Amino acid sequence: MRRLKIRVLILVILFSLASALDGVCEEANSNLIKELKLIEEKMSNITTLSTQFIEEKNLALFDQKLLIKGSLYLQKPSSFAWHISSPLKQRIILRGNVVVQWDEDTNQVQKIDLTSNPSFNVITDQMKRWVSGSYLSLVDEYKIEIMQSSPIKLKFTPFENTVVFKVIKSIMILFQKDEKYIDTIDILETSGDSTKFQFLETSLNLKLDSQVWKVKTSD
Amino acid sequence: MFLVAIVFLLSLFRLFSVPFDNNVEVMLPRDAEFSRSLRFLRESNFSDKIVLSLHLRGEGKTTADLIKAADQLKNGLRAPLVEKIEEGIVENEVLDDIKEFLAYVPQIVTEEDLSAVEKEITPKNVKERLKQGYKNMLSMNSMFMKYFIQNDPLAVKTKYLKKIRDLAEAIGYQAQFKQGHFLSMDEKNVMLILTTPVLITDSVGARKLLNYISEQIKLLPDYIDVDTICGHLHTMSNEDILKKDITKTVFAATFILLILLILVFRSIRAFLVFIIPAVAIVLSMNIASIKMGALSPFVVGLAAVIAGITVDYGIHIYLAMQAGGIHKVTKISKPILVGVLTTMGVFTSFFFSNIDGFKQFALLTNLSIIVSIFFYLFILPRLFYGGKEKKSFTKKSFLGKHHILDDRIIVFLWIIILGIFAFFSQKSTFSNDIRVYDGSSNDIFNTEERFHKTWGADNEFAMLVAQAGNLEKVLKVSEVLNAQVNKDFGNQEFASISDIYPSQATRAKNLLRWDLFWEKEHGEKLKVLLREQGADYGYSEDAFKPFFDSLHAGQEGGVKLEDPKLLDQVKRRFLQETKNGYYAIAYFPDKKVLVGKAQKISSKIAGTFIISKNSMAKSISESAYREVKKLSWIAGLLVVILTILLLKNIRLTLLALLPVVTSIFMTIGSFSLLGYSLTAPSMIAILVVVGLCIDYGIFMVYDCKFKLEAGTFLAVTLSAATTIVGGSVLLLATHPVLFYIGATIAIGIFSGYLTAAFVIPSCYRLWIAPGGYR
Repeated sequence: MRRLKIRVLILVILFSLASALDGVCEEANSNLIKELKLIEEKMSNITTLSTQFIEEKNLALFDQKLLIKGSLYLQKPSSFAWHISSPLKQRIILRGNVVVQWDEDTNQVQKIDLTSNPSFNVITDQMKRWVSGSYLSLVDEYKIEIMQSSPIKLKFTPFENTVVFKVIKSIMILFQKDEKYIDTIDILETSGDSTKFQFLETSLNLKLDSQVWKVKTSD
Repeated sequence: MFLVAIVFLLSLFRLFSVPFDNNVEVMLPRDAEFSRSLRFLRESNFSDKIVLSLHLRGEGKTTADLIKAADQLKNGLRAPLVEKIEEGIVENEVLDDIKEFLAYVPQIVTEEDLSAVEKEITPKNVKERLKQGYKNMLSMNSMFMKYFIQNDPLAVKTKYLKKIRDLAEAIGYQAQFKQGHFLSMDEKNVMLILTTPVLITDSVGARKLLNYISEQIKLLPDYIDVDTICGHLHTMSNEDILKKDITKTVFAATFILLILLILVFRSIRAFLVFIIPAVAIVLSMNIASIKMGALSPFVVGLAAVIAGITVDYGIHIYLAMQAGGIHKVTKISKPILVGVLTTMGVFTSFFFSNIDGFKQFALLTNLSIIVSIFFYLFILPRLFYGGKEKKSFTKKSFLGKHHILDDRIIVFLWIIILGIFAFFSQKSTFSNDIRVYDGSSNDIFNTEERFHKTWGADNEFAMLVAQAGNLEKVLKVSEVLNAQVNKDFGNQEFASISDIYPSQATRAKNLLRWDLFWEKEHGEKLKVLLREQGADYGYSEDAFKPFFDSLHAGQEGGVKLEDPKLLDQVKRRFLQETKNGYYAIAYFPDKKVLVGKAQKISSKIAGTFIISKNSMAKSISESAYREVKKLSWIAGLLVVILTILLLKNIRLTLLALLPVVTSIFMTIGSFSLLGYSLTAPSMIAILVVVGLCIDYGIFMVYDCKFKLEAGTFLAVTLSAATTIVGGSVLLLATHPVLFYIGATIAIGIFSGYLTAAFVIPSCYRLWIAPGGYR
C-alpha cells in the first residue's frame, strides 16, 4: 500500500514537472514570437535600405581569409542590389525571379532565372529574409533562439528537413545598439567554414539613387 | 408463344449482366503499327496516372497553407485505389544526391568527353577555371558552389547535372520543388501525381476511384480548388454521355414511333410491329455477348438505328396483311426476303473488317433481322388475323394514268440534284481526329486546358521507343538509337536517357577509361597546374584534394554499378518496366519533319518504334479509310450481285440501285456543304444506309413490275419514316460518334426514300414500261 502511494506520488510529481516544463516552453516560445514580431514591426517601417558591408570569408579552399567590401541596397517589396567594390567589382541586382549579374573582369552582364537555378534561389531568398528582418517566416525552417536581449542577438539553427541543413550549421544575427538595424551576421557552415558580414553606415528610408539598380557601373 | 415470352424475359434479365467494353479501341482499326502503339500505351505507366492540381485561392493564405492542404490530401489517399503518390525531391537530401551523382559521372563520361578534358588541361584553361571559381566564392551562393569547385575544378562532371535538368525540362512541367512538393512557379499550385491499379477502361473501377478522390478533396479547406486530370474521367464521362444519349434517343424514338402508329395505323394492335425489333435486339444482344464477350456501348447506342432497320419488314407485312391477309403476305415475302438478304449482305461485309466494333454491329444487326423476320413472318400474321382479309391500304398502280411530262420533270430534277451533290461530294474531307470518338464533357477539356496553362505543359511530344526483354538490353538498344540520332541530325530536340544512363556494360567501359585517363600523366599534370595557377588566387594546397581523392573511387569492373538516386525521377519518365520487359523512351516534339526523321532511324534499328499522337491519328485515319473503302467494295459487290441474282434482270437491278447511289452522293455532298468532315463512324453509317436503300429500291421495283397491291408505297414511306426517326433522334445525342451516325442516316435515308418512292416509278415508266402513259 505504501509502495503504491510512493508510485502515485512520483507520477504526480512527474506530471507536475512535465506540465511546468511545457508551460515554460510555451512561454519561451510565445516570448520568441513576440520578440520576432517586434523586430518585424520595426523592420517593416523600413522601405529602403542602404548600407556598406564588410564580408569576411574563412574558407578551407583558400589559404587566406577572403575580405569582401561593398554595399547593399534594398527597396521593398522586392528589389535588392548587392555591389562588391573589392577585391573585384561585381554587381548583383535582383528583381522578382530574375537576377542580373555583372563583374568588371568579364564586363559581361549575365541574366539568371532563379527558377532554373535552385541554389542561387535558395541563398538569395534566405539573404533577403535575413537582411529585411522577415524572421517570422523562418520559424518553420529554423530553430530560433534569443541569445541576448540588448542589443538583441538571434541564433538560427536550420531544421533537418530544410535544404540548408546540410550546409549551414547556424546563423547568428546581432543588432546595432539602437536596434534599428543589423550589426553583424555570422554564418557557420557544417564544413567548418564561416562567413561574417558587418554592416556599416546604414541609412534607412532614404531615397535611393537610380544608379544603384544599374547593373554596370559604366551605365 | 409462352416459350418465346420466357426466352424474352430471361434475355431481358440477363441483359443487366451483359458486359460492356468502354475501350475506344474497339471502334478503331487494328493494323500492326497501331496495335503496337496501343499495347505500348497500355503496358507503360502513362495511363495509370492521375494528376491532381491544387490551387490556392483567396487572400491572406500562404504557400505553407497550400502545402499543408496537399499533405492532408496525400495522407488521405491510400491503397488499394491509390498505390503510390509521386513526390518531389526531398530538399535536404538534394546535396547528398548531387554528391552521389557526381561520384557516378565517371561511369557516363564518353571517350569524346575525355578528349575534350585533355584539351582543357593547359595552364591557360586551368587559370581561367580557377579565376571563375574564385569569382564564385565572392558571390552570395559560395557556400553551395564551394563543393563543385573542390570536387570538379574543370567542370567535367557538373555539365552532366545540366543534362538531367535538360531532360526533366524537355518533357516535364514548369515546376519547382519545395518541402518535397511539385510547386508551380507562382507558388499558387501544388501537383500530386498518383498511381492507381484501376485500368483506364474499367468504368466501374474508375467511378469508384474518382468518387474516393472526390471525397478526400471535399475534406480540404474551402480556399483550395482541385483539378483532376486523368483518362479515367474520359471513360466515365463517355459512359455517362452514352447512357444519357441511349436513354434520350430510345425514348424519343419510341415516342415518335407511337405517334406514327396511332396516326397511320390507328390500331393499338400494330404496337406489336414496333415491339418485335426491341425484343429482337434484347435477344440478339444476349447472343452477341455470348459469342463476342463484352459489347461496345457505341454499338449498343445504335440500337435505335437497328430497330429502325428491322421494323421496316414488319411494316411491309402488317400493311400486306391489311391489304389482303396471308395471301398478300405470301406475295410480298419474296421482295422482303430479297431485301433481308441484301441488307444482311451489307452487314455481312462488316465481318471482313478488322474493327471489332463493326463486327459486333454486324452480328447484332443480322441477328436482330433474323429474329425480327422470324416473328414478322411466322408469328405476327397468325397472332392477329388468322388469315382473314382486312381493309386494304393498296395504292393505285404506279403504271397508267400518269403524264409522261411529270416523269420527265421528276427524272430531270433528280439528275440536277444528284449532279449538284455529286459535285460537292468531291470536295468532302475525311477527319483524322481521334477525338471524334471522345465525347467527354467540355468541363473535362476545360480543366485540362487550365492545367496545361498552369503547369506550362503545352508541347506535344512524340516518342522514339526501344523495346527489349530486360533493362540491360533495352539500354543498349537505346544507346544505339541515341548514337544514330546524334549522327543523323544532332540531338538538340531529342531527350534520351542514354547520355546519363547507359547500359552497365558501357558504364563499366567508361569507368575503366576514366581510371586509365587519370592514371596516365593527366592526373599529375592537372595537379601541378592547379597548384601553380591556384597560387595567384590564394587557393590552398589541399583545395582540390576531394577531386583527386574521388578519381579512383569508382567501383571495380564486374561489380554491379549502383544507380544514383538523383536519376530516379528521370528514370521514371524515360524507362518503363512491363511484364514483358522494358521500354526506353526518347521524347521529341511531335512535328511532322522530326517524326519522319525518327521513323527513318527506327526503321534501321530492330526493336524500336515511334509513338506519335499526330502520326497515330493519321495512321488510324488512313487505316479507317482503307477499311471503309474495302468494306464499301465488298458491300457494294454483295448488294449488286445479290440484287441481280434475286431480281434476275439487269435493268431492274439498275433501277433498284438508284436510291443507293443517290443516298451516297447526297450524304457525302451534304456533309461537305454543312462543313462536316466524314469520319469512320459516318462512313459506316453510309453502308447502313446502302443496306436500307437497296430494300426500298427492291420493294418499289417489285411493286412496279408485279403490281403487288400490298401497300408498298405506304410501307416504304413508313419504313423510311421510322428509320429517319431512328437516325434523327441520334441528332439529339451529345456524343459525336452517335451524332455523325444520326446525321448520315437521316440525310441518306431521306434522299434514298425520295428516289425510291418517286424516281424509280418514273424511271420504270419511262424506260421499262413506256406504254402505260395517258
